[in-house]
Amino acid sequence: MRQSMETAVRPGGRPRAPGRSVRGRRGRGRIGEAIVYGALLTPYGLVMTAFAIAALLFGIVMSVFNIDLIAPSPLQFVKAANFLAAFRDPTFRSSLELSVYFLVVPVIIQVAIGLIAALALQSWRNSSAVQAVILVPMFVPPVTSGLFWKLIMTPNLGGLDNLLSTLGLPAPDWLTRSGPALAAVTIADVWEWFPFAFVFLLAALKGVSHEPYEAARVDGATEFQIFRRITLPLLRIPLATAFLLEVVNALFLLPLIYTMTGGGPGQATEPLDYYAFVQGFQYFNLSYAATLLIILVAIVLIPSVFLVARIRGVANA
Amino acid sequence: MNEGMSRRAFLKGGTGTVAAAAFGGTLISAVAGCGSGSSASSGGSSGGTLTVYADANPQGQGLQPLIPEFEKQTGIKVNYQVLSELDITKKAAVALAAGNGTVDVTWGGVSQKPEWVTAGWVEPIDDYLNDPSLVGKGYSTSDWLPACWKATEYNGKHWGFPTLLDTNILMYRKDILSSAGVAPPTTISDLLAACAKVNTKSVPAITLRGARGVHSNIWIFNIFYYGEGGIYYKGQKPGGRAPSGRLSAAMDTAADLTGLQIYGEFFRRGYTPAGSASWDYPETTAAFKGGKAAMLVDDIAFALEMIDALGDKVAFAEAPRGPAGLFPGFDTQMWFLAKGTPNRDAAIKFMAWSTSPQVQVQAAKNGKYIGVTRQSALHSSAFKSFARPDVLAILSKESPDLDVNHFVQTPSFNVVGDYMSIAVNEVISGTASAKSALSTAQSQAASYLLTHSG
Repeated sequence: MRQSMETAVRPGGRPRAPGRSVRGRRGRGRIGEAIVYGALLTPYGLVMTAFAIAALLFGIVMSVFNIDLIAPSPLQFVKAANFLAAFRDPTFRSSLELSVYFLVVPVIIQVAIGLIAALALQSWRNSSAVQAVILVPMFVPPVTSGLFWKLIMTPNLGGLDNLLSTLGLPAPDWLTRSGPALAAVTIADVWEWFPFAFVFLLAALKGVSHEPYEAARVDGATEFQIFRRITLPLLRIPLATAFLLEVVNALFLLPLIYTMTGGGPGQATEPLDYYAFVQGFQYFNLSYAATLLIILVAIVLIPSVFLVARIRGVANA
Repeated sequence: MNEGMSRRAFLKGGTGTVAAAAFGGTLISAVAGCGSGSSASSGGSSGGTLTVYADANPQGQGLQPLIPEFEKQTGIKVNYQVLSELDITKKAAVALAAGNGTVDVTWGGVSQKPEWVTAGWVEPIDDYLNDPSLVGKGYSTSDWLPACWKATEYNGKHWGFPTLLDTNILMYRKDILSSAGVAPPTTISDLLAACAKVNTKSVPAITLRGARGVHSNIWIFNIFYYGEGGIYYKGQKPGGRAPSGRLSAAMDTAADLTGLQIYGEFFRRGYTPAGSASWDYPETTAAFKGGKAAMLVDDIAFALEMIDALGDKVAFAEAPRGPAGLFPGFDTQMWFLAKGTPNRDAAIKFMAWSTSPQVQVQAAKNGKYIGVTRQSALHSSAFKSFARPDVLAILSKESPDLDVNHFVQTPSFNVVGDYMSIAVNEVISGTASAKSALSTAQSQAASYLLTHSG
């Protein structure tokens, strides 16, 4: 019966060739599709993998030699000397702390604001215009964003301090005091990247079924209970993914910091990637710069692996 | 479900198609980019197109309108890129390090010279100076201002064509100082006292560079630092050359601390505009030009610009002198010849043409600056027709104190100076005390010099 059904003509479709089962045709079709898609995607994947892995390997190789363009000396394999020098370097320690800060604090704020905005807009019928406005910061190049915020936060020029004073709030010297400068970069970073989390989470929310919500409301659950017991669990995977992607975005702060604060005041906003940039492009100590970046990659891998494992674990559950 | 392709199949196939198109597009762009490496827009040079990196200072901008003239005379196309000083040092370093002809001629100053020569990125020019087909008939090195020509020297060879003479002066608002009954200050302590008298909330007393960088705050800071007797290396005199042999850091003396403290005082006492601890010369000059500061210590290159903006209200004086002497600063900016350039002859022709007396005078007039580097240009009637005599008089007064070691002529100064510039920035922003900041800078410099001899 099953076989005769499988060989039956599909409603409105072509009759199947006699002697051929639907399951066999489907199987061969899927294999064919996989071959076509694989063929189309493989070159792109190979190129990207080659660039990423080749760059990483090249960095590792550089980090175990003594390449310094201003102190040319015979090329020497120095093993872990650069890594040991980094761990003894006070600037490395302060830069590392800042990197950890930027990988955690703005990311949490970006995802939180993105989630709040997504929750607020998920039920709006005509929210396209609002969504478009929210997405604008994401498309502003980081250099433009940095200059824009630098202008706003310059006293007597940008107006932010005047606005704060008018509201009776303190007007810090945003870019010339270490605490306010760090806050300034955090604000600019959050402004630029929270739309990414927003659009990701909004799409996830729109895919969530309404039935659990209706059932919960019928049972008299409060909105907070609904959020905590239904929304958050349903969004576990999208939230973890959003965190992961925002952590990756947090690695691209260099243009923003370069234009806003130049790593200052002093080195108050100089995370590890910026310090590596100074070492490589200002001091020309290429091996040391590569060492710092390898350490940064290793640090970012830890939360990334954790998040990916968590996502997989939840997905398989 | 529809006949034919399902939505899922369409999405799968579409994704693959889009990815393939993206890859194909990327590949095509990459190949096209490689193929167009000789075009002006990509910055490469071949087949008669010269790539020049120029600083966005008055000289670089003043020369720009004259480039078509060179192209017409020689038939050589010039890809003339004007870049901010902060960016050009990094971009030029990367291009020079590549050594593949990405750039043929680049701007640089005396602080870049030891580094770039040591790294082997630039070529000496001595061998080309006797070829009239390259440098023009009648070319003579004796026409250069002696201090400028000497500034191009390193390890017994000359490494550039001088383009701009730089030093610092005091620019001040005559009207503000006279209404406060203050005479133009001549010493650092006079300057501090004058600031106390003229400072108001709406028009702060003075604007000074605060942004981190050897070419940013250190350029001005060293006037005060050396003036108080500060040094960078053991055995160095204030503002003098580094001793020969292995260098060690000496940024921990009492005079060093005084120099850093004094510079910090102008900011700490509120004599400078709000937020100026992160300012470089575009902001400091804009503030003074816009009437937002009563005094400015900065480059003589901006003097004519200030006259244009402020008219008779602005006057000029020498940079302030300290107990250890007057160290107004001296930089000779120059064109460097990139090693590995495939357009050597064209590059020499460009450098010689752009620094010839007539072109220097015209560029100076366009860019409104007076720092020409040729004696014949300096003494020409065309130059004197727009160069203010009072500004030239200040330059003349400061001449005996111009020393190329304002940026110490040693490869390590780029790094050691940056450590000091971080300390300066920390002090003026109130992030650290002078003692603590200086101690950190000394420690960093000492550690660096353990592995870098000079």
